[in-house]
Amino acid sequence: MSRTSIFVCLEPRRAEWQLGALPPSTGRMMLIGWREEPLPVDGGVPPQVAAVIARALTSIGRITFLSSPVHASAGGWSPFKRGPGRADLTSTTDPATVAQAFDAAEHPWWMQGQVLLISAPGAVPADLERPQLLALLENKWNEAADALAPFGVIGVLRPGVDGDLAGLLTLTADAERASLAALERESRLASFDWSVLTEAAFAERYGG
Amino acid sequence: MAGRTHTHVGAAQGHEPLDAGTSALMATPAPAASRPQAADARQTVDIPMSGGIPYAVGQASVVRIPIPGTSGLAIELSPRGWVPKTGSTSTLFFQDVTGNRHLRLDYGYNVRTKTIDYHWNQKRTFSEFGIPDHAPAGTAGRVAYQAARYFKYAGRVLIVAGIVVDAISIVQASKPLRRASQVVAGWAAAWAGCKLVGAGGAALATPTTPLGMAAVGVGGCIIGGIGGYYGGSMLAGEVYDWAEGTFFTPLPEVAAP
Repeated sequence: MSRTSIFVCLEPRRAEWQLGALPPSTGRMMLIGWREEPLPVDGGVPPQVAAVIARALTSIGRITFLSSPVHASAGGWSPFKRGPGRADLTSTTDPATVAQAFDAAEHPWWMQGQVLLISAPGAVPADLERPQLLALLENKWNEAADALAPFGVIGVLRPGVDGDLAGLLTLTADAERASLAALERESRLASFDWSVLTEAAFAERYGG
Repeated sequence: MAGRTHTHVGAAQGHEPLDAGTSALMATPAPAASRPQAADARQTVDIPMSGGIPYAVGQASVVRIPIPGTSGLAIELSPRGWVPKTGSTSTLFFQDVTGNRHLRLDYGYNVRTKTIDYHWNQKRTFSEFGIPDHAPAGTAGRVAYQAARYFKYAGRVLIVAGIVVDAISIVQASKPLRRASQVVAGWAAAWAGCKLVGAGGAALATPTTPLGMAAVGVGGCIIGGIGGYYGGSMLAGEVYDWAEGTFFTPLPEVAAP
C-alpha cells in the first residue's frame, strides 16, 4: 500500500541542501520534504505532492513562477541566447497551473532552475526584470528575495538539492505562520502524513 | 584561380604537381642533393592542411547522439533548460530534446545515501535503463563523470582549433573557393557521420549499461565524424572540379518554322 508524507524543518543550517547560506540573513527559511512508500524510481516532485504544495501556496497568495515562450523542444535556451529584459512569468492563483511549475522543462525544478514567488493575497503580479528572477536561482538568493519585498513578495519557494526538497523563504512572520498552517491543512486533507522535524530527523527521513 | 601556377616541390627529378585546390601558396627552396630530404619535404607539403580531425573529435562534445529505440533520447554532455552560472553538477546526460525525460550522471549530496557521491538522477527513463533515481554510480561512474567533464571543455577547444586550421587552409589555398567548399561540406558530413555512426554505436551497446552506451556512442560519433569530414571534403572537391571543368555550348539559333 502506498503512503505519502510531507515534513518540514523550521531551522535548517546545513549547506548540503544547496539553498545558499543558512540561516538566511533576512526572513525565515523552512525546508519542505516529501517521501513516498514504496520509493518512486523517478526523481522530481511526485504529482500528488506538487498538487498539495500548489494548493497550500495558492491559499495564501498569488503565485508567480518562471515560464518561457521559448520552448525547450525548439532547442531550449541558455543565458547566452537571451539578454536582460522583462521576465517570462506565469502569475496565477490556480493550483493546477502552479503545479506545472514543478514539471517545466525550460526551468527544470530537478536542476534547481525554478523559483516561485508568493505575493500577498489580492496583489497584482510582480513587475520584475529577468535578472531579478535569475538572481533567485543563485547562491545569494536570500538577498535577492529580500529586494523583492517592495514588489509585494512575501515568500519565495526554491528547489533544494536535485529538486528532492524545497526551501521556502518567508519575508514576514505572518507569511511563515500562514504557509506552515496551509501546508499542514492541505497535507492532512490529502491524507498524507504530516510532521515538523529537526534537521537531523529531516535528513533521516530521506534515507534509503 | 586564374594567373596562378602550381607549385612544384622537390628536386629536379621526381616532381609531382600538388593538388591544385588545396596546395599552400608557398615557395619551397630546391633541396640539396639529398633525395630523402626531398621526399620528406614533398610528403609534408602534399598533405593538405585540414582541421578535420580536431573538428570531428571536438564536435562529439556538442552533438546530440541519438539512442535508437528510446523514443527520442540522446547522449549529451550538457543539460537542457536553465543552467546556473556555476554550471551543472551533472556531466553526462541521456535526455530527450526538452530534458524532461533524462538520466544524468551527477556528483553531489545524495539524499538517499546521505553522503556526497557520484550518482544517477533520472526521470521517466527507468523503463529504458532500469536505473532508479539516486542510484550510486560507483567507480565507473566517477571515471565517466570526470572523462565527460574534461571532454566537454577539451572538445570545444578542439572545435575552435579545427575551425581555425580550416580557415587558414582556405586563405592559403590556391583555389580558396574550392577549399571553402571542401571545408563546409566536410563539416556538414562530419555532423551527419557523427549522428549516424554514433547512433549505431549506441544501439549496439546494451541499454542497461548507460556508461558503455555513452563510450561506444561518443566513439562512434568521433569515427563517423572523421570519416564524414574527409568523405564530404573529397566529394566536394570532386564536384567543384567537375563543375569547374564543365562548359556549356550554346546551341545555334534557328529561325522559328
